[in-house]
Amino acid sequence: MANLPVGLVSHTRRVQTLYKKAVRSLEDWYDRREVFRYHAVLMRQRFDQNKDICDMRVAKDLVEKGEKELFEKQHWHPRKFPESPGGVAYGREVVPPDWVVDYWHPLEKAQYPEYFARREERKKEFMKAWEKKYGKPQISTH
Amino acid sequence: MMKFLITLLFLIPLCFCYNYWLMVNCFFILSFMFMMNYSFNNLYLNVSYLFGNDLLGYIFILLSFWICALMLLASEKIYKIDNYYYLFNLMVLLLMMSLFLVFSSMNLFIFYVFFEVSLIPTLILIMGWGYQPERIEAGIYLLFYTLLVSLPMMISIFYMYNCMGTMMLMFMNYQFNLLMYFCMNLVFFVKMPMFFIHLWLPKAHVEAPISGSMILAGVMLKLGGYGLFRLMSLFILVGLKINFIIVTISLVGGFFVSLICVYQSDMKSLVAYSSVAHMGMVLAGIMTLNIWGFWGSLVMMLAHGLCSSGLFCLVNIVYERIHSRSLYLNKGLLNMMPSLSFWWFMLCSSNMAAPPSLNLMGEIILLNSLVSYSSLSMILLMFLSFFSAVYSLYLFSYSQHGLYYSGMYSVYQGVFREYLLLLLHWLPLNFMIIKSELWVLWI
Amino acid sequence: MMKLLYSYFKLFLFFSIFLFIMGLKFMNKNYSMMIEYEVLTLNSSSMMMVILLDWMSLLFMSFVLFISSMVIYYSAEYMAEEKNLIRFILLVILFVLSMMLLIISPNMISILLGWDGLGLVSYCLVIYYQNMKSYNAGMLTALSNRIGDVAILMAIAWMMNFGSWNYIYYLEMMKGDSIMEMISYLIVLAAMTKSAQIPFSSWLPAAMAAPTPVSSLVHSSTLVTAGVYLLIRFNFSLTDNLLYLLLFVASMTMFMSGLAANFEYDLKKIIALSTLSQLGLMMSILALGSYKLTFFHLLVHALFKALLFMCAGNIIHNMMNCQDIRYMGNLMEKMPMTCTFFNICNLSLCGLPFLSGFFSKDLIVEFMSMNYLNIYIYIIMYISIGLTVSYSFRLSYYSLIGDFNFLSLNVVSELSMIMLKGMGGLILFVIFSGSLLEWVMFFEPIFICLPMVMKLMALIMIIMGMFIGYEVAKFKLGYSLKSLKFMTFSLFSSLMWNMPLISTLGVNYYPLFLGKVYTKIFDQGWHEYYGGKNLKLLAKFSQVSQSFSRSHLKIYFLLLILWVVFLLLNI
Repeated sequence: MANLPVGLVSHTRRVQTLYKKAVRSLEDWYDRREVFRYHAVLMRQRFDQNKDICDMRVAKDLVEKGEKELFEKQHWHPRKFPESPGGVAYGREVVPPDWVVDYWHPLEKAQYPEYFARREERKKEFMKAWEKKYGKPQISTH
Repeated sequence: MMKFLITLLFLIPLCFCYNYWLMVNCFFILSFMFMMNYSFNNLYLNVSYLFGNDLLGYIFILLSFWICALMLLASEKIYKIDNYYYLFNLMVLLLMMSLFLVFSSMNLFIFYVFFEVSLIPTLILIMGWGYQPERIEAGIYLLFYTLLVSLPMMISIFYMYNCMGTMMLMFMNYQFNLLMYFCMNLVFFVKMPMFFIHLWLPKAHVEAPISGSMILAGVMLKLGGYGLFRLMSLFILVGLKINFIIVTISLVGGFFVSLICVYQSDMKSLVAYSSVAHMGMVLAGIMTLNIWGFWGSLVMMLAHGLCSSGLFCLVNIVYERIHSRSLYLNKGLLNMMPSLSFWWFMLCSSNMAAPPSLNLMGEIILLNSLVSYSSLSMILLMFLSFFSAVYSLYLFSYSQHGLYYSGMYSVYQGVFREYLLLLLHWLPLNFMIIKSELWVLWI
Repeated sequence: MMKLLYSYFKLFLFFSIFLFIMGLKFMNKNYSMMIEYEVLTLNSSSMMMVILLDWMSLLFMSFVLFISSMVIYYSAEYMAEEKNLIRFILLVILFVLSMMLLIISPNMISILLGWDGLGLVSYCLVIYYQNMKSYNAGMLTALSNRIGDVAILMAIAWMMNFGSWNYIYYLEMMKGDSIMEMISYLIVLAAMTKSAQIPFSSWLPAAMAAPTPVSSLVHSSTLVTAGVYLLIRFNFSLTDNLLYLLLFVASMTMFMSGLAANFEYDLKKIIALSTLSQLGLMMSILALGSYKLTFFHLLVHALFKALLFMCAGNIIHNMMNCQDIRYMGNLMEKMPMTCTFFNICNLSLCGLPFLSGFFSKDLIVEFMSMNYLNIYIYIIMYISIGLTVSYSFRLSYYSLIGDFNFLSLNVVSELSMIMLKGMGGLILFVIFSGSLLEWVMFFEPIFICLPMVMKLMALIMIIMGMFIGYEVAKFKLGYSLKSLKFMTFSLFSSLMWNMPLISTLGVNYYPLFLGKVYTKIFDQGWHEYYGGKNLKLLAKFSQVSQSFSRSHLKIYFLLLILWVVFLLLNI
């Protein structure tokens, strides 16, 4: 959904996005910190050179060129944090919802009597707190 | 023979005794009793009043007993919500009786009669206990596809009697012509179902309740194979000329149907189409007219009966919880029901003919027969067995792996009955291979 | 749970030692044993479950069990926080079991038990994690392997011409017969899928989505060597043309993966690609005609590759699942022991004298130099050896030395004693197994007679590889990046010559499209039209016949006339 154009993107936003992506892309390529900083400065300079262009046609053309260059120079293995989307460990663990435990078979539940006794207690406490906060739930008949 | 028949007959009052589990027990006891009847040769045994069975019939009767018992075990829901379960019991019992008579009759006409009779309880199961209104259409499809081609069969049975002077299956010795070939066999092709005339099957499966699906996949499809086994010896001369057409249709059709499987989003219809693909291989194996083909088809039918019935059970277990058969909603079940996921994997892998399932044995024997029939069939067989893996894994991984559907608010973890049900499908499927000679001795 | 794990560790270790001694005994006595169990006999051709115990299978089993025992011990800590630990362990055990079954069966049908079992269990292991990456990787792995299964099924069908599936009796017959050659072609196809040779290479790096102990056991030393092992068993049946084809494919695989590893940034994928390149080496030496050397390299490689993965796993574990080598660096100080192991394995992989890899690898290239085939093989073999060294050094350069590049809040340290113990169990064998196995396996030394330069060629390539590996990983301020400059080349080689694209997007469009077509046009189209949906035709017929029985005088007379006509016609 992130790629769907929802709403207008101003020119400034577009340039900003391009700049951010360009720097991120540099980070993929130049993997030593100091080298990356150096190239990031160069990239900043490239953007700064054209910051005073008032002719929107030229500016738009430049942004488009920049986006094209960015696309052509994207890394085949961009840096991703492991747990962020696209990373190697993203979504590795699916945590089953808590209510799964409620649907255990009674015989299974009987194997952990203490836990389930406390669980029932906690449920009651939660309901009490909820009712205190929001009032009694209205039972709708539809 | 009579003892089982009479036992079944006297079970009828039990249906109305409001004791569901007793009925299940009786079926299991019957199937275990029937196991004692096993004979280590291929002669007709237990002959009385035109009924009797050789090993072929024995295997199918045992399969029907087993599947009927499992059907009742699977349909606990009907009992729980009190959905006319005594009538349901009666229907299963009638179905069992007719199947028993089909497989044990030594007379072609009686075979035919009960072949038709077995349709009616199935139809009632689908119409009566199905879920959606579309079940009416499915029932009509089921009935008319079979009836339309079974009436020519009746006439040709009379003609056969005219030619041979007997209806006893073991005395039949004659060679019929092309017209008779189609009049007799088309009904079995529909029942199998052959590609082109398989349309009733996915419809019936999708609309049927779990018991209907199980008996359809488990035994009813095998009726076609059984009939062909019995009657192919009458059509050897004409079969040598035109069987290649049927082989081609079923192999190409099996490939097409495998592709259709990959396109499905409904789990039940995926399993139904996969049985069309498998039965296509079975039909091709019978049509090769060589002994490997017959043996392989028998093993494959036996394996498929257990395996796809088990898969239907799994789909139903999930359906009873999530109330949907859609693959888009049944996701990430591994996180909800890990133990059930194990059975999903076992049965899906059996479905793709992984060792040591009986499916593999059947597939190997069928491959041997078909490749020795024509080496060109290798190309299609490659695709068939590759795509059987594709759709089985697709079914498994799409339903089990990943994030669960976020609109899911309750999943009951599963009860022993369900695990028992799956175990009883899987155990024979994977253990019969150890001495699989016993299942192929019949010729 | 842990108890289960440790008991399996002990069991496997015991059997490993037991089988190793048995293997030595069998080798010494040149002894082999066959046990047959008859499953089914049809028309005098019997399907059997056969167990073959000879030095090769015993030794291989002992190695597999040893590695798996260590891996199981190792995963006690690696997977300690896992909720589904039992599932994991049992899958690993099942995997080892299928590998055993594969190793001991000399029968086409009973080998399926291991072969399909490997495919399916490795599928389960690859999709062990619940993310989309492992889902896709698992599907790719399983279906690539399924191609091999199908090839074996077809080989079974074709072997019915012999009337038996005990292939070891028929190997030479297959070679002589132009029709039965088909079997060896199919077997080579199967082995190529399992060992991820070129058209099917893409699954091996993808399978790195599995947990690292799995990669260590499954995708480095056991599963992928199944194909090589099958070919070792079949090597007497391979004809010259087939061997040329195999040699070409294997050498290309070796070159391609060596190249791709130089462009890869994922720690596990680099090691996976190096596995691929070693598999190519094994396959090519097999194609050059020395199955014993293949087996030798297979065993040695299994040891150091397993340990390499375990080290990588330790690093990944400490870096919070981060696998990108750009985030690493200076691990030498943080985890010295792991890095030592890592380095030893890497150098052994490079073939540095006198680590274990040296004995096999050097022998292989010298053997290749001895029977001179053509200049292409010669060059590509040496280049690949250089590339191996190059990516190993690049990897060391990135991860072990230099600046520490990880995020600021971290606990990268060597606190995982169980993992270290598991790794330590392997390290001695990584160092010594090469010389040990060479002395044991080759009773008489292989005759190698080469000029000085050719003899030193391997070492020269290693040193050149070191230099290049250092150079490609080096960075300087204001240094214009060569991989950015030659973008097309680096993209092409880093994507493994586009193979992952071809074997996923390239092949799945048409089956799905055809599935749609068949559903829409056949099943919901013409079949309905000429089948169920036109059942109303019957209703029309009955409408017509209904009109006959209307009490209408005209129809009555008409029918009367018709009746008379029929009557007259019958006379």
